Amino acid sequence: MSNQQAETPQEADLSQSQENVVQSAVEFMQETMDQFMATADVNAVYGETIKHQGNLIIPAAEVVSIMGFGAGSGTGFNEDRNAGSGIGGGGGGKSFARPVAVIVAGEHGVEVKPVVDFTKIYLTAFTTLGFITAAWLRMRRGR
Amino acid sequence: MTFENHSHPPIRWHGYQITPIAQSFRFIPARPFGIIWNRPFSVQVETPAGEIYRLPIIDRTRLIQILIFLGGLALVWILKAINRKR
Repeated sequence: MSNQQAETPQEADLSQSQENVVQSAVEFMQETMDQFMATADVNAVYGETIKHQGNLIIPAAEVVSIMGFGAGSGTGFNEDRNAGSGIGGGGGGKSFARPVAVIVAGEHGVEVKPVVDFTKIYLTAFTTLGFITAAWLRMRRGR
Repeated sequence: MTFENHSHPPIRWHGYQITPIAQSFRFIPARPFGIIWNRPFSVQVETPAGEIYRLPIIDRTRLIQILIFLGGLALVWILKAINRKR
């Protein structure tokens, strides 16, 4: 007697739907991966050129992208020795962009004008101040 | 882990040829996971006279952040040294 039994139409449908799910997940992952790889492109850093009062302005930004995916499948038996299988996966990612400078080209030459983010600077200053205060208090207690 | 420089197609304006350059850092240890950091690096300028020079793009925000952090570390180190002497 063979261990392999013929698939019932319901089992065949289930197997087909599982294959479709896997296929669509792989396609989605590939599409997301392509979008992620596009972050490394030079066009992600330099924006559309702007013409203003005889000057050409090119915005420049820093772009950071983080992404991760995972997937798995497994089979098992329950207490009644009924076989079952399952597939699952998940992923996540985030992209950050921050203006760094603008390139201004005029009749008299090309200049790079920096963009300073004061909010980030204030946050860094307050965080550092917090660490200094904590270290100082620890030193005083340690005497 | 790779560092690569990518050039933007040159832009012509008032006789100047401007070529923005970006630098990308890729860290992709396994295919479904990765980090890409892409930043503006410099601008190559060709003047109407044919002179070519490069203008670096400095991230002032990051520079100031690093200076504040290093200043904080130096201050803690000085405080520690003063505390030890007492």
